[in-house]
Amino acid sequence: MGKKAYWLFLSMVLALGLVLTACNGGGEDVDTEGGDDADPAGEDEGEDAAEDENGEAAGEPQEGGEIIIGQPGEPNNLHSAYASDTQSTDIVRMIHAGVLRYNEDMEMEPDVAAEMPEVSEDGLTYTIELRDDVYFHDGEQLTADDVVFTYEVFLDDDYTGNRITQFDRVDHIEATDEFEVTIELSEPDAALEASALGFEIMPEHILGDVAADEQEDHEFSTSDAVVGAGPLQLAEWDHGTSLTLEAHDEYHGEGPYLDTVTLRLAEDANAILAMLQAGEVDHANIRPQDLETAEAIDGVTVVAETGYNYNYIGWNHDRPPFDDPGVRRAMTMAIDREAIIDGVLQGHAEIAHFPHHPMSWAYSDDIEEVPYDPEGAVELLEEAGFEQNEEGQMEYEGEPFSFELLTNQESHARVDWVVVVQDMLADIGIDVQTDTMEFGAYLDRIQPPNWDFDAIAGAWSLGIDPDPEPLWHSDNYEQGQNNIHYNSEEFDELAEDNRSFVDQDERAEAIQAAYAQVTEDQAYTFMYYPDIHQAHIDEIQGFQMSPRGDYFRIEEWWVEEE
Amino acid sequence: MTAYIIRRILMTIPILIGISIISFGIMQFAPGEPTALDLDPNISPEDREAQLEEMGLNDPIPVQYLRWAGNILQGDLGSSFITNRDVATMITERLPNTLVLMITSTVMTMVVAIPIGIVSAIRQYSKRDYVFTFASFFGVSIPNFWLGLMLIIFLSVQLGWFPVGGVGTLGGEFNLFDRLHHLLLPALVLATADMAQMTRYTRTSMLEVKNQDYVRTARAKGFKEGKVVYKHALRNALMPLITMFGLLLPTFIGGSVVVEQIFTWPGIGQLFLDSTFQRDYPVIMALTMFGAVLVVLGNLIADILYAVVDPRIEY
Repeated sequence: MGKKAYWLFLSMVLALGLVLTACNGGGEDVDTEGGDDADPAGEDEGEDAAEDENGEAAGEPQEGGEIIIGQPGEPNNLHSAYASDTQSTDIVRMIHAGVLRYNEDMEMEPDVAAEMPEVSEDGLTYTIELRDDVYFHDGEQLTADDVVFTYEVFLDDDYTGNRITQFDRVDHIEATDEFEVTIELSEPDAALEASALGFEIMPEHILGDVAADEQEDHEFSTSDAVVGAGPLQLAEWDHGTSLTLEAHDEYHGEGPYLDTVTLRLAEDANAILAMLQAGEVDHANIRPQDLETAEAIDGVTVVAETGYNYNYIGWNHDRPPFDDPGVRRAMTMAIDREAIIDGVLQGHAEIAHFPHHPMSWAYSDDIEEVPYDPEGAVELLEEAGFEQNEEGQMEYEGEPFSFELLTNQESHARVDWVVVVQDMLADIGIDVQTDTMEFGAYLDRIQPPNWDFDAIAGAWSLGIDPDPEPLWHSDNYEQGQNNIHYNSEEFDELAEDNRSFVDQDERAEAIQAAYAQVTEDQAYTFMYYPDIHQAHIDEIQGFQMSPRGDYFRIEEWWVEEE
Repeated sequence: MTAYIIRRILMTIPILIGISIISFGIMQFAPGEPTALDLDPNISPEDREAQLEEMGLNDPIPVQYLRWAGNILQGDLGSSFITNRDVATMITERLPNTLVLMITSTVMTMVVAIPIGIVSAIRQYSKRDYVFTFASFFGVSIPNFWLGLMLIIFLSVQLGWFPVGGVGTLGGEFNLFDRLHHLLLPALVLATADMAQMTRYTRTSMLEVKNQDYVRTARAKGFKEGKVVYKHALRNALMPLITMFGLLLPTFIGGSVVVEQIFTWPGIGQLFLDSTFQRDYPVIMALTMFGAVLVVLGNLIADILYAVVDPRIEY
């Protein structure tokens, strides 16, 4: 190419670029500048905003309109028995409907069921009446056969998904009428409603002939061939780019009001934030560190809710001195959680004292709160055999005491606060090494069969059913999630078989007693319940948010037309 | 020439086998396994075993490798552990996006770097040369994730001139201008460092050739300056550049991991990152092999180009 030709080409490229930008100047679909500047969105935050939003009655809902949601990742599976990551389950909940669903108080309520199941006195028989006006997206009616079909997938020997234990007390399931399902249990299971009956119903007329272990890879589960009875149907799944959902006109519940919901896939949270700023998405989850940026965007409201999860420090009970409850309590006392919440999380969290969520029916205020008290901590450590040497270091068995606090690098907040914990424990003479690892490598270290850690900073998402056994029962050490090896006979006795209490009050009492034991033993140092935040453009009305941070009741959202 | 190409292609077979064994082994050494990330407190050990069995992860690693290799030879890349989708489909639906990005940025690199390098060399120590030198050091030093973020913040978010990310406007019909509009920033970011590097190489290479006897001879014969530069000097200066190009080709995949993530560009770089974090072995292996093929191919193309540029080279 001659020199002239080259420069000509270059100037053409540049000119083209200018033309392109000129075209785009006024052509954005969604205009973030459109909102009124008088009321900066930054003032709407915290619980108040959530209340306002949830309780607002700003006119009648309007039908129509579309929104684009910044979706942090692609769903892996759209089959309720095989979806296990939150990205999948959030979307499964939009496409499918379950017998029961959870409401804003994290309690179960009827969805496809006409009313709550009728439970026999011995707690062994559940009779579920179904609504007779529920239709799948393809027009087929949802009947008792679909419910039986779905639940039997979990009972199938070939089933390779994750959740067999939720159905392990189910003896058999039967369609006793076109719209009546009867479940017989082998022993009472108080967790049945909150766990098993929450699973969304799959259409028998499509998957009925597919073997249980083949349903996972079926095109139904992995493409836009999916059919459900939920408020939205998947119209198009452009892998890697977006999912387009459209209103299901025959939906049995309220709504959906929106015509179209597009989930725009973007794995990078910074990219989602930029899209929100540029008006390319209308709704997004906001990370704690992006809160100020999101609140500063014109025409965008940020809503907060206490997340249904907690952060903790787990002590390895197999490694002395963490086998001593007094030492673990001293650690908790030496950590100023209030300061961590204020300093690292800008106040957007609540101290956790209890091993479950305050919204749960199993929660109790009547639990001991371990205060921040570094002097008390030193006393406790001295009782446990620690000695402070001349340089102020805590010595255990004649050696300056030191341990490693491990966390995974994906959580900014935890990566930040482990360093603060390091500092706070240094104040009482304990040397902490912090280490952060990629999630997969971290899990490999802390889980069976390695258990290679002194202490971990982690978080648990909570189930709606507050069964304490999976995390704390000593039987769950070898393979389960009790990787810290909490081994308390008192707890095991209190918690054992709490699922067998038919009466919820009795069960709550048992669970609370078991949790009180966990707290007394300080099996973990419970850190906090973090706030979760979602941002949406002001035009979205009827917005609701659950402590799960999903697209809660998206069928009831609507868009205000000018 | 044909015989040479065939011989070269045959030579790649043992290379690729070696690469596949090493990558398969390294992948297995990485801590964590696909099922471990699927945390569910309620899953029983028996089910966990069943899942491992289904994925074939209970077998010894050599057995797993042989099974994988056997499938590959039959053209079956397997299906993802995580999404259960066919790996070949997952790659082919994303590959065009990555190729478009790579080709555009390569063309941008060549079109900008080679002429600037030549000008810099011919007018060595001129003002223009200093400006270009400064600019290319600047370009080499800027990390592309930072440049990408800055461009997004200023050009996309603040000024609204460019979209924040993606390959095209959602839901719209295919529109070439829209596609180019989305392409420009990521391609530019991907090209920046290479542009700067290529400019430097071209300059050095031209400087070396510039004072060779045959160039002086050409001048003495009375050829026009343009002919001397382009016909006599440049052709010879291109040789090392072709080697560079061959080496650059695979780095585009590496570079695109970062750029695709920032610009939410649904290409294979993003897929690579995801599958690595999720320990999705079939996808990781397929992409690693793809990268390996690209390296081998890049070198082959470079070797063939030598012959094109230099008539003395015959295979």
